[in-house]
Amino acid sequence: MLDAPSLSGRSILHAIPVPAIIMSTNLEIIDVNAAFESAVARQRATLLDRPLFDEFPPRPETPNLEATIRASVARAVDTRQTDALEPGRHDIVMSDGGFETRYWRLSHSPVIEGGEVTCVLQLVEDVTVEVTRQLLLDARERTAEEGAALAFWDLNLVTGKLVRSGGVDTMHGFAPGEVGEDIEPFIERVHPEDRDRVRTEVFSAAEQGPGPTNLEHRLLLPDGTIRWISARGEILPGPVNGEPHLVGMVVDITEFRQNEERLKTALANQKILLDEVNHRVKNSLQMVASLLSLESGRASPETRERLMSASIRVNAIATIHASLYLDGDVTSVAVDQQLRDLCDHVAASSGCDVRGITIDLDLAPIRLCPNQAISLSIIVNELITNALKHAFPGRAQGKVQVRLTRNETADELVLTVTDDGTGPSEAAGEQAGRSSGLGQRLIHMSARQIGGRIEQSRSPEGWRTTLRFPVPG
Amino acid sequence: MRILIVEDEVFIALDLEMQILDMGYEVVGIAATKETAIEIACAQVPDLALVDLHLAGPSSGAEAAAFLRAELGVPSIIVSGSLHELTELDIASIAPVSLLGKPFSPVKLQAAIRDADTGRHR
Repeated sequence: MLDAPSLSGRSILHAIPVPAIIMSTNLEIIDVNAAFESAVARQRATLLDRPLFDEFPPRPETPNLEATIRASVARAVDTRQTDALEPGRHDIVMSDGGFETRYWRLSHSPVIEGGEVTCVLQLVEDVTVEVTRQLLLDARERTAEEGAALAFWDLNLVTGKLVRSGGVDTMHGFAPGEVGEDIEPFIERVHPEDRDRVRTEVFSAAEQGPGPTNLEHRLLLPDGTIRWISARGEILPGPVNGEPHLVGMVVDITEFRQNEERLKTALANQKILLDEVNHRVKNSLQMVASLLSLESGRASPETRERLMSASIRVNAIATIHASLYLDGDVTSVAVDQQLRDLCDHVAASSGCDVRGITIDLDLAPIRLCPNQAISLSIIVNELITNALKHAFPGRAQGKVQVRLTRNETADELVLTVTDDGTGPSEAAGEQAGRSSGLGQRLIHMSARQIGGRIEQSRSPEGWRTTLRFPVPG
Repeated sequence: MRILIVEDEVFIALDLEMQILDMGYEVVGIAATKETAIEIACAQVPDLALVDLHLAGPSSGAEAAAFLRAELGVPSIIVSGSLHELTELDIASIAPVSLLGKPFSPVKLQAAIRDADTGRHR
């Protein structure tokens, strides 16, 4: 047996090549080695006899570190065996006052003298390089996992070195192994009109700091074909000198773009078709109105009046159609505007201006689906036509009021049509005749179709009809 | 007042004719295409034309109305279901006396024709 030099615990501590601390079981620093001094940029003398967490207080991003270390030390003391922790992040204060992100692997080993655990040896291994490398690998896997058809890439923004899957080469028209690890040949394949933008956006990504980036551009391949690609990625600090990496995936979106173009064309055709149909329908409605008008030209006064009211009813439907395409929304009708058109037409057809009759409109802006709008129009048309026909016999002037409001509390729409004339009941006997009977049936049937109820009342001031119907869901 | 009707739908053309006659005016002809419209207009030189924008075949009512205005000084009332298709350029070259959307009300049509007649005498 060789003569062993007399060993001092302290000198062995200083010989350990990784940062190490000897501390008491209640975590007061007994000694640190030179490797520790340089790793944390502190002088040994300032640390001796100090509580560990006074000198290295937990940082906000690792609030549980103290508890974790205390638990690990307790386990080491308890089991009399080394307790190693998973690598964790613990940023350290630099001499300039800033922080540096570091990953550490800590282990605690009990020092046993005379059968007792007298102190604890903490080894502090800087595993920043390994951890960041693993994070990069993880990021590559994450992006690659998003779809087998995608290609992934990892670009060092300082050196321009491009690590990538084979799909990137294929997309850019390169055979496997045709180009090396430099980004430049790939940028050369970017469409000349997009190239400067791509170069700027890729390399300025580093200045934006960590986070997602997104880039869509064209490629111009040697055979003249143009392809669209979309590159998405994130910036990460790399393992070497913190050089930033842009890690992400790239998708060939040429087909999406072509589909988009086809859809645009299809949509334009659709619009032309819609315009044509719209024109046809208006023309057809005009033809019906013209037919009625032609018939009425040869008819007796009584027939003429009936044909006239038929023509006005046709128009009531026509105003729905006209307003349906007015604002590009073909699924609903702005009934306030449409009822205004309808009342204009009825007023003009009945010669209201000559007779001194005004139609007052108070219409809340409300949209209804075309079927409901048609029912409402039929009702309004019948009510005002009736009022104009019967309410003002021999009168020099008169007023018809049309109101459409929303009753928020009852969740219903309320239409009221009032006139200040004598009302149809008096005039009914001599004038109403069959057409008024049809008018009443149209009103009640239309009201039923939209789930509404009709109330009619007569006062000295005139005749009032109220329609309440539920707000469509 | 002598009026030309440019309309390719026969019922509408007849209706317009009847209403014009009822108002006591004269109808110089009914044209269903731009060519016929120009032909009749050149021969008859009407005081007013009622012009539909969409005519039979490829011909355009707007072009007919612009020709009538530029070459013969004949004003037009445009009667159409597609008034929104008129460009500002069209409006400038036609200088229509009125624009009537289809379906039009007889009251509005008669008012427009009467206005054109009053304008003519001013």
